[in-house]
Parts: sequence; C-alpha cells; structure tokens
Amino acid sequence: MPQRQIVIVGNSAASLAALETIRRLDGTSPVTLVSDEAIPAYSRVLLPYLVSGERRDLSLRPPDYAQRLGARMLLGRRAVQIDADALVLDDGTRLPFDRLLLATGSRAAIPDIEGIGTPGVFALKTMVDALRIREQLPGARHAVILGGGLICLLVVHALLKVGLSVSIAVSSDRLLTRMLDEEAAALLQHRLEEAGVRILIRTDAARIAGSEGRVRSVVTAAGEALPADLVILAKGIRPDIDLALAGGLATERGILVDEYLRTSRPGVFAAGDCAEGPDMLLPGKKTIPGTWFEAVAQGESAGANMLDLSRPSPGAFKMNVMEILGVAVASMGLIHAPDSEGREVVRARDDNYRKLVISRDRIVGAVLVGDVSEAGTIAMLIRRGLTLSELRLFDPSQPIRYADLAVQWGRGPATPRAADHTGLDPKAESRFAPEAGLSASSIPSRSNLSAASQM
Amino acid sequence: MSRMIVVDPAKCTNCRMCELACSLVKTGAFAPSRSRIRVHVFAEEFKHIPLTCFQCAAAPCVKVCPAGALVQEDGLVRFVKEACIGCRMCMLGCPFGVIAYNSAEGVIAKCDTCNGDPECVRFCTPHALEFRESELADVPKGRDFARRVAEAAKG
Amino acid sequence: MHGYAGRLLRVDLNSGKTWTEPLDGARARRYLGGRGLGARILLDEVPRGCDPLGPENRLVFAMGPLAGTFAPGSGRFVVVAKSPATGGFGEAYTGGFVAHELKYAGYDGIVVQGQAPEKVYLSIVNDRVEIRPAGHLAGRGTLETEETIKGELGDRETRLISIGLAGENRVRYACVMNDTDRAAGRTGLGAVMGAKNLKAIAIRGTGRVTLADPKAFREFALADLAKIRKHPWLGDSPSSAGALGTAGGVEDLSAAGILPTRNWETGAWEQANQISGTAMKNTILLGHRACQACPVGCTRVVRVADGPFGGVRPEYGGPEYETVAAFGSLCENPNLESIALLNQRCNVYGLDTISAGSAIAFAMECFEKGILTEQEIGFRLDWGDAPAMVRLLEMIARREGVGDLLAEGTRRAAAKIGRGASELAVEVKGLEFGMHEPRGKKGLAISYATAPRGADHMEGFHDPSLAVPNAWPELGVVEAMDRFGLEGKPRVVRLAEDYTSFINSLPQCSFMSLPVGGIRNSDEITGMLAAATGWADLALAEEMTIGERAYNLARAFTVRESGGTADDRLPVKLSRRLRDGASREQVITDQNFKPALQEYYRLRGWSETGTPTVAKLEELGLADVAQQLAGKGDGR
Repeated sequence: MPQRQIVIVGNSAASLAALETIRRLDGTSPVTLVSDEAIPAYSRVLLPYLVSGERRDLSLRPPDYAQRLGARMLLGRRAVQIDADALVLDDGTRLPFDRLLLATGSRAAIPDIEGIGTPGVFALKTMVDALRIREQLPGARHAVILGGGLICLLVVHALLKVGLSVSIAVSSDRLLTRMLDEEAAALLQHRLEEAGVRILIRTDAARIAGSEGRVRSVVTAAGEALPADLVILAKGIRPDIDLALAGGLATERGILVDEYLRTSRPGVFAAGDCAEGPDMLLPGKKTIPGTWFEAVAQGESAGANMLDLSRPSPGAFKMNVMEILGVAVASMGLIHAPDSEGREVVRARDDNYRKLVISRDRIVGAVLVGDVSEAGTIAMLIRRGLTLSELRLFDPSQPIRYADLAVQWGRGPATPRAADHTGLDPKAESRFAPEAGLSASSIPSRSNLSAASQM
Repeated sequence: MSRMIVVDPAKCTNCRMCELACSLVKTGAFAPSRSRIRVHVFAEEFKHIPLTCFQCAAAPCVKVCPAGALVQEDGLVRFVKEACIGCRMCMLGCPFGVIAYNSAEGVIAKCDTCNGDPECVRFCTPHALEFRESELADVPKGRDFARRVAEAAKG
Repeated sequence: MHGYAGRLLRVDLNSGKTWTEPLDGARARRYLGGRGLGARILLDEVPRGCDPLGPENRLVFAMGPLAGTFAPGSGRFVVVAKSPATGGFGEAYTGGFVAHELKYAGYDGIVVQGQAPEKVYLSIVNDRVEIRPAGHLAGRGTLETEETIKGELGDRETRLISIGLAGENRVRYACVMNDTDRAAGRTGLGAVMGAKNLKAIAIRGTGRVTLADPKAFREFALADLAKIRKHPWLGDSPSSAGALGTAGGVEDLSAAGILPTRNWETGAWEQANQISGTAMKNTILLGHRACQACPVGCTRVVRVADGPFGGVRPEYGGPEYETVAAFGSLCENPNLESIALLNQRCNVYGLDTISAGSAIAFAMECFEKGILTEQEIGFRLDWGDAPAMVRLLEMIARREGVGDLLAEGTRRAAAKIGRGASELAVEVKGLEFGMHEPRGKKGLAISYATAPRGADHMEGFHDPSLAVPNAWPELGVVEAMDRFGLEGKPRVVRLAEDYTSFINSLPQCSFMSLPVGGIRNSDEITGMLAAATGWADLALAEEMTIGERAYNLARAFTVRESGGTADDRLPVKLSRRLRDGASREQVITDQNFKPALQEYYRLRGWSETGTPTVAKLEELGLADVAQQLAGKGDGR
C-alpha cells in the first residue's frame, strides 16, 4: 500500500472510526488528527450523565490511544483553511495532505427567539456545555426544554435525577418528530408525564425572559410563562461547515458527498454530522442522518475510500436507540410509508410497540418501543436491502429474529406453514373408505348402538 | 486463533440445559429468560437453534458503543459492566440479536464464554455446543452458521 | 424458600375466582410434591363418593422442588384427580416444558375445582391469572389449540396444557396433553378436565428458581450427568434410549416371550422386528429430542409424508414403546406407519395410547370370537387391520357407533357386552395393563394387582433388572432373582415402589432413577434435593419414608373410594398360558398368587383386605387418614 499523508479534522465518532479503519488496513501512512476541543475524544452520548453526576469520565478511548494507533493528535487547534495541498490552522501551521477528512460534526441549532442570549440558556453539545449546565444546577428548581429533539429526551432523566421539575415545549405535534411516529411518541409522552414531566405540544416559545442577569421564564406564543432557572435547547443540529465553506467545497445544509464520501474537492472527504450524502432509502435525495451510528459507519467507509479501496457506502439512513426513564426506543429509516405503495405493519401489546415500514417489498424503516431486541436484526435487513420475498418473510407481523431468517432460507420457495395444524389429513377420510370398503354411511349411528347397549 | 462457542444446530435436542446452566452461573438462580444463550425452536422443521454471541472479530457492537463498555480483547468481545449506560446501541448494531437487556440492573447482558470455560458447553450432552477455534470472523461466522442451519432445515 | 416457589395456584371454575395458597416448608418436606402432594390434596378435599366428572373433583397439577432446575430429568409433573376410569386414585405423569415454566411463573402446582359454565382456558403469565373464553377452541387438536392460544396471547414462548376432542367427549381414557406431544396418559384425567369445561392452561413464567446451595447443587448435577452419560442405556451408545427410543427393546422382549401380542394371548411375535426402534430408525425416524433438562432425549420424531397413513408431522413427536406395542403387537399390526399415525391422532385427540390400543385389541378379540359382530362394529375388525384401527380410533374419540361403547374402557365395555367379554378385558380396577407381560415378570404382577391407580407398570419394578446379584444394595436388594418366581418378590417390590414413589413425588423422570432406569444415582438425587431445599440432613431413609407415605396416601384414597382386595384382582387371562414364546409355561392364578399378595399386604402394614392399618398410617403421620378409612368423614 503506498504511503499517504492523511489528515483528519474532528475527534468524535466519525473521526475515530475512520482512523481505526485506516490503521486496520494501512499501518504505515502518517495520520494527523486535529480537533478544536482541547480534550481527548469523549462520548457526546454520555453528556447527560455528566450533567446528572452519574459519570465523570466520558473518554471514548484509553489514554495511550494515539501511541497505540501511531497517530499524531493536535488537540485544541482550530483549522481555518484548506489550501491546494495543505490544511491551515489558525496559528499558521500547515499540515500537508494527500487525503483529508472533514469530520467536524455539528453544532446545536440556536433558534431566533428574543432573549436567547440570556444567561442560563444552554445547548448540550460539548463537554463545556455540560459543565456549565452542572454549575447552574445548585438552587435551580425548574428546567424548560425548548424543542422535542433527541438531546431533549436524553437530558430529561438527568434533570429529573437532580430534582428539577421539567417542562418541554415542542413546536410540532409530537416529541422526536423525525424519529418516532405518532403512536410511539404517544407511548413515550405518557411515560414522561407519568414521571411528572409537563409536555406542551404545538407550543412555540415567543421569548425568554430574565432578570437580575439570569433567566426566569420562557413565555409561550400563547402567553403562558413557564418558570425556568435553566433552559436547554433541543431544536436539532446545524452541521459545522465553516471550514468547508472557507475551502470552497460544495455545500448545502452540510458538506455534499457522494457514495464514497468524497467532497467536491479531490482527495477531500467528509463524514458524520457535517456530511450530506445520498439517502439510502430515498434514491435521488440527500440526507444528514445526524446519528452516532451513521457517523461510525461513514467514518469507516471514508477511511477505506481514502485508501482508494473503493468501498461505496449504500447511503445513509438514520438509526438510533435510546432509553428514556426506563423505556427503550429505537428508530431506523423511514418512520412512515413513503408513498401509496408502501405499507406499515404494526404489532402493539401492553407497553411494547413495533412498526415496520415496508416499501416495494423491502423493510425501509422501523420504530420500536419497549422491547427492542429485534432492532439489530431489522437494521441489518434494512441495510442489506433484501426483499421480503428473498427472505421468505411471509408474515412480517411476527417477531423477526436472526434464527427465523436462517430457517426461512432453508424452507425453500414453497409457502411457509402448511395450513393443516390438526394432524388430521383431510384427504384421509376418502383414502380409508375405499381401502377397507368403508364409507361414512356404514359407520353405525348412535341409534344402532342401542342394540349393543342391550347386551 | 481464538476459541469460541461453535453451534451445530443439527445436534441440538432442545433440552435447554444451556439456558439453565448459563442463567445459574451468571445470575445465581435458574432463570432462562436471563440466559445469554437462547434456543430458538422451529417445531415444524424439527429444528432447535441455540444462538449466542459470535465474539465477532470486527464487532459492530464494539464500534458503536458510546460508553466504552464493549472492548475487543484476546479474540473476544469483553463487556465492561461498570461502563454500560444501558443505551442499547450495541443491540441495534448486532445483526444477530444476541445481546440482551438486563432490566433488573439497567445494563446489557452478553455471553463472555465464562472465562474460557463455558458452562453451556459443559452441560450440553448431545455436543451441539462446542468450544473450539473457528477460522471465520464476525459476519462470515454468522453467514456460515445461517448456511448450516438452512442446509439442515432443507433436509 | 429455595427450590420451591412456596405457593399453589387455586382455581374455582364455579365462581371464576383464582387465588394462591401458601405451601410451607414443613408440608413440603412431608409430601414433597407430585404424587405425595396430589394424594394429600385429594384426601383433604375430594368428598367421599364424589363423581369424578362432577364439580367437586379436584384436578391437581403437581410439580416439586426440582422443577425449574437443571437436575437431569426434572422437567416433569403429575396430574392427579379421582379417576373416571377406576373410580379411585387417578394419576398420570408427563414431561415436556410446563413444569419449569410454571415454577418460573411462581407456582409449585395448580389445583382446579368446580366446573365452568362454558368452555374456558386458563392463562397464567407470572402473577397475572385470567380465565378466558375457549368456545372457539372446541374440538380442536393440541397443535391447533397451542398455535391459536399463543397467537391470542402474543407470546410464542407460552407453554400449554390442553385436552383434545376425546377429553371434551369424556372418553374414559382421555388424557391431558402438554407441549403438543407429551401426554399425562393414564386413568382418564383428560375426561376430568373436559368435564370441568377447561380446554387448556397457558403458562408463561419469566421469574426464577433459587437454590439453598447452588455450588453443591451444580456439583451433584454434574456427577449425575456423568453417570447418565456413561450408562449403557441412557448414554451415548447405538442402542441407547436416545438412539432407538424406548421401543429399542422390542425384539428382546419378544425373544423373552414377554412382548404383549394378540390381546395378551401370546408373548412372542415373528413380526416384532417391523415395529421396533431399529425399524423406526430405518424408516420413518427423523431424529430425537428431549424434555427440559434431559440429557437423554428418548422422544422420537417421525414423519410419514405420503401413503395411506401419510400426514404424520414432526411437531407430534413419535411413538414410544407402550404405543408401539399397544397399536402394534397387541393388535398384531406390523405397519409402523399406521402406528405413527395412530400415535399422532392420539396426540391430537388427547387419548391414552395404552388404553386406546388395548380397547382396540379387546374389540379385535371380541370380533374374532364372535362376541362383537361386523354389523355391530360396522366393519370387519381382523387382527392387524391397520385402516380399520384408524377408523375405530376416530369413532372412539368422537364417541360414535361402537366407539361410544369402547370409549368406556374395556372393563365397562365388557360388562355392557356380556357374552363372556369380561374374560377378554385385561385390566385391573378399570385401568388397562401397561405393555408388560406379568406372566414373564412375576414381581410386576404384584404391582399390577395392588397399585393405587390400577395396572400400573411404572410403580417401579421390572423383574429382569434383578437377574444379577447386587442390583440395588442401597435399597437392600442384593440377591439375584428369577423373573418367573414370586419367592421374595413382595419385599423387593415394596422397596422399589417406595423409592419410585419418592421419585414420583419429586417428580422426576423415572428413567433417571434407580429401579426403572437402572442407574445407581440415589446419592446424587439426594444431594441435589438437599442442596436445592436446604434440608441438609436429608438421607435415603427419609426419602423412602416420604415415598411410602405418598404410596399409602394414594392407596388409602383408592380404598376409601372403591374398595381393597376385591379390586386387587388380576385378569383371568393371566391364569392361562401364553400361546408361544420363552415365557409360555407361566401362569398366574388366584391360588398361586394369593400367598404373594398376602405377604405383600403384611410387609406393607396393611390388613388382609389390603387396607392400610391404623398402626401403619400413624407411623407415617397419617392418623387423620386412618379416621377417613374407618368411615369417619372425608377430610373436609
């Protein structure tokens, strides 16, 4: 394998996946990783646990990670420009590259609301955010979450755990609009309300009111003032494309990439929350999945493609799982049938909900609440794009387990279960009668028995 | 080459000793619902298929764990219970569905081969479970297994 | 409490109420579970003279302390009730997966009383117990019932107990089925369940079973497993129970002249090799499987796809020895495929294969001797006519035509027919013989005559196992014994029965125990039981007492309900020689049998009329039972 100078910008899911993939395939090419956060890679998923105090160490990799992988880490350094053949840092340092990966991630979307800058209003995207929220906790009694996005749900448990009363103001008609359908969102909302969380749907925040240098309340469009010592923004993410723009790369919401994770500039790739690429489930469309899973998958793919190993990714699809107050929720792909040819197969019992979205004989999405043990196998089916016919999955309302699939392969093209469960072959009647010279009419009736009973 | 629990479904008699043995050694009581190995039954085909963690070489669960609770080590996927937050990303990443959720403790549960001396193998009389080297890794392992099951099911 | 769940589930189908009843440690140690507990409940609660098919009868499903564990052979439970076949103590044993599941749901057993106004099924999901309508399941077979209920409850891991058409039609030898292909076969308990309008019991348990000393339990279980794995019949050998099933010995039985043939007319059959385990292996066998926690796997799984007896599916397992003999040699039917189909139909309808085969063989002999005519039957019923057998089984399950008569069991059918038919009925107390020929195994004759449920071949003793000395030194049986003699047998029979009665109170699979399976593992069983329950001082002597106590409880119930010696009578056929085979010089007459019977009573501490004496009952701590037998009250 020829030696290449490889530079990676970013230090989270996509970057680490790319770095590890590169090292698995290429032990010698020098790799430099640049990140504007001065701390070793940490898990953003664990940030709520830092807020609640349940975790202190969020590190994703051991302290000797860089040595083990033979990579150079430049932490706390900001990249500001992409020259023809080098990445330029804010202090003027030039990092020549043959291959560059932008895995700059995303920021929290900040809504344009009066008072948004009031002290006490936070996003929860970085370690610094989490530490600042923690500082705000002593003495705080009320928390308001603006938006029903992913981060909102992840942080609820932390806030409840430290004793705050929590309200959530959601603009749309349900929580986690992009992840959950109406039924799943209702189950989740019910669970949250049971735990004392107040949820206001179809509710916009008009302004954030403060006094004496801190936030006091969030005033809704309807005029209600929700008391707030702490406001958490959960209005989604904004891909971080500053560097791409400076470097003249093609962007829309995110940095545009093809199925090989290549940007518009040769030798430059992008992966993770900052990348906007082909949507696996909606051909012709582009998407930013914004999930940990996809960041890892794209990072792997980008890593291999940066070594010219030509590993096209099938496209991105959203896939996520989480637990909120003891209820597991998983969502993947399309959560509603994409058109009139699609269908939805629902199985609901007690507190468990599972919906499959099927389009053109393929599973293209699923939502699960409660028991999510099928999620991994379903995700695999979505990713592999096999049709139900190929899988011989005749009854998608049944649980989907790996063992079932393996056995279905063996059942062959015939229909799955014979309809006869009775153990009585319906053809037996006619087969026996001619054999032994019997017919139904020759069986003595009960009235004939009277002769026998008189014996 | 590392050893792993290799399953031959054609030999399984559905006695469920593996589930009983696993749950006893891992939870201190008999509770098949908490076993890390589960037998799937297909009565119509006369097939019983024990499934447990394949200890994949490039395990999707390890790649995807955001809490550092799954680690590739010595040919096995080691579960670090103290680090687990119960988010279940690993369950979403595992195509074989062999990671279970332990609701009593709020963490996941997965086969760890009992420190190289698997209890299920010890209690399996028909030799449907063996502990030996397998030259395959992760997805190929799973595919090979599926192929064997399918072959057996056709028969 | 360890081992035990510590409670029973009570169900009153009259009121629709369900509740739990505690099972305390002292009661558990006296009766253990299974047969012992079942018999105790019957004596306590079933009124004297009660109609077995009436609401006052109790239907008990009794597990024990080892269910739910990996003690080999612990996947087992006992069904107990007053029997509609014998009018006395009814009990039937079965394997499968229900016992473990019920323990995980949190119960050591279920006691059902009353009678539902309409067909119902019981759903038990851990603590949640419901009585649900089952009208839509009327007449449905076991597999169909299981699939339907699993679909309704939405959980494929649900385990089922159910009855089929035969139980609904109160055929006197209808059985209770579980897990599709397992049968609690004998004494007509399916009819009791049918009379209560209880179609099925669905069980799902996600709890756990704890042990007092898990480490010791595991050690003893591994030691037991090691012995089983090395055992010539239970372990891995070409002729083992796993390889050939329990029908593996058919040719040997015929060679010894004790294969029941032609309605007990003879003991050797030249076509024995067409129905044996080897024949099965060479033709219809797909493989074998096991009950929960069993390292042997004696269950056959067969398939017959096409032909006149086609449609036999793997879900229904396959025929074991009793079935093979009852539908095979007993009827002189060499067609193994037809036997497989008959077995499946019995599983679908819920019919005891032993009694059903016996009824058909009885009818065949009646036909041969002109006691039943072609017109009365509706067709010819020659020996070995397999299609006719299938036809007749249908009629029995549906109680149609002569099937209605035969559904009453051979004793009652013979009484109705008259014309000397009673001489052709081979039964004791109304229970047809298990497929074991007492003329060639005289010790067995004692059990057949005196066992509480009638002619019971599983009380624990088959003479060939004592052909060599030192068979069971731990039970005090050291002398070699000839299978044709009655000398010394009463003592040995009694010991075997007491130990087996202990095993039947666990209950545990008999094959994994000493007298029936021939495995010297009583230490390991004691070790597991003590480690599970915490009864550290448990020893064989106490186990024998528990067994003897359970045996006497069962016997007392039978005596209370239907008499003693009068019913301890062997069929007249045994007083005639077998026509052929190595045992053909043997007969059992009232005269040569009576001394053995009396000696047996004496050893047991029973009166000359076969009634447990006050002294014996008091010795076993059953003074109240003595009161009942003296006519004072019936325990309620």
